Amino acid sequence: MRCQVRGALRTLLGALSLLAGVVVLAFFLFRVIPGDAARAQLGPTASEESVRALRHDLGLDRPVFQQFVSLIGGLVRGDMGVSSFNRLPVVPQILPRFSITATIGLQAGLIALAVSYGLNLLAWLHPRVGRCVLPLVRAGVVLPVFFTTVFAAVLLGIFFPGVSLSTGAADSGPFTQIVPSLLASLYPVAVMTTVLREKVMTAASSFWTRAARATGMAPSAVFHRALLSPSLVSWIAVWINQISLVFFAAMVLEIILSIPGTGDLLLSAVQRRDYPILQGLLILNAVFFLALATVGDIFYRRFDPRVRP
Amino acid sequence: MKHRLVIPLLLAVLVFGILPEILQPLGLRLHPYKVAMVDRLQAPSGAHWFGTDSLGRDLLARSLTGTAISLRVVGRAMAVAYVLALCLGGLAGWWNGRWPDRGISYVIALLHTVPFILLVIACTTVFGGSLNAIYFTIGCIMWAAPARLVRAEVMQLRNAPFVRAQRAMGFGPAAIFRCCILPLTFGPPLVALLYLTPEIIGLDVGLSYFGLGAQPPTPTVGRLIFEGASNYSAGWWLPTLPAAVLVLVVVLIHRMIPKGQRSYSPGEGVNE
Repeated sequence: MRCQVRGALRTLLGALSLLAGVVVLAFFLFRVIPGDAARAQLGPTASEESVRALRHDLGLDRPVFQQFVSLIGGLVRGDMGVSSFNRLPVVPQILPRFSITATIGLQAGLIALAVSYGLNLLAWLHPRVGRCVLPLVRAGVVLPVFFTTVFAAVLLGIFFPGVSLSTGAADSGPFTQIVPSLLASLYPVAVMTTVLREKVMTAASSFWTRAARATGMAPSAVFHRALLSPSLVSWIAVWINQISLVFFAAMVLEIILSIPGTGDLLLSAVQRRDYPILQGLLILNAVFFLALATVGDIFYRRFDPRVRP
Repeated sequence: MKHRLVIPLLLAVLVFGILPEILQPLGLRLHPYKVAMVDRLQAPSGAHWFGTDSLGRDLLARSLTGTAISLRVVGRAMAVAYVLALCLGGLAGWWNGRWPDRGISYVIALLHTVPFILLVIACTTVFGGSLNAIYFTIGCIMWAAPARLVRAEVMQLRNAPFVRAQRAMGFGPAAIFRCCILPLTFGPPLVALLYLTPEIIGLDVGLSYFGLGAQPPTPTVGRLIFEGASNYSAGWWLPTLPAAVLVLVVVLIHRMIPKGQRSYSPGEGVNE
């Protein structure tokens, strides 16, 4: 038990050190980018004095070290500064956007879990159906997300002219909520179904499966107890790794369909050289993924006998 | 053996853009940039197999050139990522647990927590936004996942019986690394990278929103599809036929992966 607590603590410390790395990266990455927030905001015709005044207003003329210290001080209080474009605090601007992306991403992740489980069960109970369906699902690996998104949008436009995907997840019906998630889930569904299938087939040729079948267990019980449980750990590991790809897909999707999520905010922040927003996005993303990875790691320590001390 | 060469050959034909020369005896003159307003938006016919776009440019020529350009830059990114993954992953696996491993693993984990597209955009604004520079940057970011695989592989091989036998025979670490470990780590990162190819080809579309990537007259296959789809009511062939070329290429790349490794998933083996 003590060993387990120590392991969890070490994981947590690792996550914290990574978070510190992300903060440093975010700060310096946006300081070396050429281009000036004040200049981008005022336009190329503004006078040198007004640009300088705005720079002073935004605190961009202070020494870099001092800016860094004030960023850290703010972060400790949960404050990420104000946007250099509209002077509103960063956190309330990025949180609702991020929640849309996170909804799409997590929904897609859940779809991937459910579909890969369901298809594998189906393929185990009815091998002939499985042989037809599994290759179709695997095709999801070869199609890039922008491609499926664009074609889904065109097909929707032709067949359901009233439905729009671009209103976002916040204020729309169930259809607009689920279609982006479905699109983002194509790739992880393909990968996770394949991985689970491979693990299940390996377990199926084992002696314990033969023993379970010899005792007269029902096929679905064999699947759950003899096949699924040894595959569980690597299946979940793949899932956690897929989540970051899903978030990438969700951002691309949002940009293309103009869903007001993180991708969309990213686009406008880059155009306005709004570094506080970009910084906030990077840090928020890192917090989210590190939390996910830490939970996954603790799950590992709990369930994988090889890691268990 | 014979069929293993067919697909790389086909891809090479596409990559080097020799297909127009091959098609010339068939009476096709392919000019991807030649504007001819007289025959704008023509449906596919004998003269223009893929039809023409809204400026009267031949869509077949543009699709082939676009595919060649996309594949070339993606190939370059892959090469950069592959070399980095082999070198850094190999180092981390060999010095497992000591400071080179700690440092490299930290960087890998860092690259995993930062959203890919954000990093690409931030870096391209620093290093310049031309198509080649972007894909070089992408290569410098993409090595993280395959490097993890190389690291895991090297860690396993280090204590394999045949490696221990070599050590007992008095081979130095460099020789063992070169002749026994390195050749066995070539496969997994390559497969992982090949799996990511379609997304990297498609990334161009995302980047075009930021004003990065290929600039207008230059076609890339992603942008042809995207522009065609936003204009699909003008002609069904505008998005569909470049898309068919892309699907063909991606399926070809996928078929190149040896059958035993085709079910390999990027990201598996990370925690092992």
